[in-house]
Amino acid sequence: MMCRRIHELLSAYIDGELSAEETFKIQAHLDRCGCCCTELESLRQTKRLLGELARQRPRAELEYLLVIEARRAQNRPPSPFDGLRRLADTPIRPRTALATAALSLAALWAATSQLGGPAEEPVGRTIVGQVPIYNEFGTLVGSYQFIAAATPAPRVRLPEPPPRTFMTEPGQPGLLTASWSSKPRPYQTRQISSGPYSPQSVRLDQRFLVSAE
Amino acid sequence: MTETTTLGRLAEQALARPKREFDKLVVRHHKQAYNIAYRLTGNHADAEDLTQEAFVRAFRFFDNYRRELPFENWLFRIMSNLFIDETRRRAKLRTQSIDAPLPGTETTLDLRDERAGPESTVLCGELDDQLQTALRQLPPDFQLAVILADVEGLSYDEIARAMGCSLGTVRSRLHRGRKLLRAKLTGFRQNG
Repeated sequence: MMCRRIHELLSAYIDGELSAEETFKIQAHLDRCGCCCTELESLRQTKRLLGELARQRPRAELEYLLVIEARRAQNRPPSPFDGLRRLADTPIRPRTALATAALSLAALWAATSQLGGPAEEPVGRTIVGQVPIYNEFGTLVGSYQFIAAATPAPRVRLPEPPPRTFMTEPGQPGLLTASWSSKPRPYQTRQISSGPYSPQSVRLDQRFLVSAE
Repeated sequence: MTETTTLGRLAEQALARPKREFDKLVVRHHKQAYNIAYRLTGNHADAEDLTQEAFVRAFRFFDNYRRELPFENWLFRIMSNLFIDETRRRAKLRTQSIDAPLPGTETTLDLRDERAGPESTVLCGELDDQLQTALRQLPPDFQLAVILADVEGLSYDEIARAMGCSLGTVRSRLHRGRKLLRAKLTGFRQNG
């Protein structure tokens, strides 16, 4: 075999992904070719370096956020591109490829025909924590409900008149974003910008204090 | 009344079953998925976005997942598609200097530095940085093949399923990817 052809097979040789016959031929060639041996060692070194890269660990709360965000996303209205995405993420069997493609195109047509309709983003479907709100007389007047979400800018809304302080209860970690509700009728709200909330994640199992502007 | 309640409970349990199954899969696979995402994107913020988007899509199409196949292969397939789509989309975007004012205004972007701090940079080492830089410079298909094979240790068969291509294509992408990576690393050493 020519060296050029051998070179192309060396990566698969290193990985043990060649047939017995190919492996035998390469070994026989390597026994008498210094150039290919050098190439082999160089590729091995590259592979070894990659294998030694430090494992990158996610932050602790990511596991929880993935579950919550998946639930939340399921409550969104279906996207017109879902048919195509489903097709892209599914291994295609040749026998059914044509039928699948035709069905997906039909699904895409059906979905895009609804493009003009309302597509509001539902919020507050997945609640990971509740914060009771008390007035200055200690009476429970409502609660904030926090959802975990990936939206970048968290907002915290307070009822009018805003309570002087409120504290979170121990709960699950998550990102604080907008969404609270109260019964029997929604409060008038205004946004605060002060407080310990930041666009980064906050653990709800800490007790902290928030004051209105 | 009792019968209705029991039926309701059974229905709830039946609906909750796939969710519980998915939760377990998240626990089992999210760290590996995150590591792949980090090596693909090169930073923690994008890695988290990519991981999250992959799991969200997996959950959305969970009824599509064929249980006889390993979940991670299917998840990596989703992640591969997302990554390649995103890379192509970004390639079409115009770039904007983060230090320059936005076009037509005097406003500048106020961006947080999402990278790891200086301590961890030192700990990770120069070689790690060079490898990551070189990986990011590979064409996305090559980058994926190299990461799945050499960082995660997947077999060619698993990579073919994850990337939706033939074994021959995996072999070719991996070999060309490694050669390109080696050339870039050699270039770093000569220049630096």
